[in-house]
Amino acid sequence: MNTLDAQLASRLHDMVDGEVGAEPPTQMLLTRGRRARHRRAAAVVTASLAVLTVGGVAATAAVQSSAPSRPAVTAAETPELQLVAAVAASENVSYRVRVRSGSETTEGAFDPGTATGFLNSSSSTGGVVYLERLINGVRFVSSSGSKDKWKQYPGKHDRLAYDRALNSAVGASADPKQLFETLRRAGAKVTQAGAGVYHFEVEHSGDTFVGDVALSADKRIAKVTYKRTSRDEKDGQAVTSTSLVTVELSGYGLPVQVKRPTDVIIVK
Amino acid sequence: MAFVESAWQRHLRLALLLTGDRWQAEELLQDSLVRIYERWRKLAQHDDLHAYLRRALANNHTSMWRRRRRESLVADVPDRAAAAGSEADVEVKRALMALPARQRAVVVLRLYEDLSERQTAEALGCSVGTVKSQYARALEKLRHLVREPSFHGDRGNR
Repeated sequence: MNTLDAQLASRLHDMVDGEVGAEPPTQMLLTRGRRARHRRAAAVVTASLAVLTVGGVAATAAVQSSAPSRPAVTAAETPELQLVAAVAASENVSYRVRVRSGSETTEGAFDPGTATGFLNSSSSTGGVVYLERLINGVRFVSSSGSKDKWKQYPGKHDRLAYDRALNSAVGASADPKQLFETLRRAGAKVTQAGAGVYHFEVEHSGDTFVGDVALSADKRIAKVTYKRTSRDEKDGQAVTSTSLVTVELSGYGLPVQVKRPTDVIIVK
Repeated sequence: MAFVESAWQRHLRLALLLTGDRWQAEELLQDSLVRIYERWRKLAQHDDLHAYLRRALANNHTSMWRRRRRESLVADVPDRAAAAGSEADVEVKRALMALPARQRAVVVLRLYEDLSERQTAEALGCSVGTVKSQYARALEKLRHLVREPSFHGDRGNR
């Protein structure tokens, strides 16, 4: 190895060896992997997954259509369907959100119609604040350490990066879009726990979600608290991890306006 | 999951050198790990999964780079707390990022991962001759781009 080689090798190590290797986003990788594997399987076993994911909706339609023949309990009165109806009323509309998980908190707003929104995250233990702005699908990311400089990332995005904003183990499941998909899954056990409050237990991608949903006066999802239990294998041993998450939603239908950052570095 | 944990720590730095950016490095590593997960049943028997992942990282990054046609990180703004590098390190990093993805991969695999020319060729799926020529071109460009005297002191030694 000549001098330049040695210089370069040394510099490469200097550049990255000090980088703290964050904890791997194991749960997110598992979820993505399972989805990817499912997508591959779906290509072979025609649309079996599609049946699963829309199972809740299909069940809703089926029960609703048969409801008139069952005068004792109408379909709309079952807790499952009331929850599905609340999910349907909360989807595809703008919202304000506040998510707490452990020491992490993120607040933001999102309008799925325009793919515009923002997330500001922080941790009660200090550290760097993650900032994200999504404007017509264009993602800008900054942090408290960036002196108000922003990075603009390529491509169009249809959702905020909750997995980045929060602990990656719970972030994706805290995205209201994914949370709603979880709540409406076929096989979810839903019971009424009070006026406008529902208790749910559901399995999704091998994880168990147990929690409560509170509805607002207009029958939309106002607050979801849940415990997520994940089971994995590590070194041949079964490992269980849990996380507690609270998602508060409000401001449905209100406009979401996000100011475009001025000091932007374009990542091409 | 044990593999993910060891792979994440081991290969994140390689991904950082390939992409020059923490966000993109994590995305690249995640994408590559997801692909391994998809094929886990077949790959679990693989002799060296880390070598497979290294190859996936280098090739996925080259593919991404080609799709985007040109990659130019014009400044270095950390989106997480990161140790500030010296000015010289920043200059070297900038020069490294100015290389085409394939040349950068050759340099990083040879010098950071300490792979031989043959191992680098295997990782990138190309010939040893290609590795040699790409490496020589990359070093010549780096010499041109980095003004630091120590990068210019061995011209006669090659």
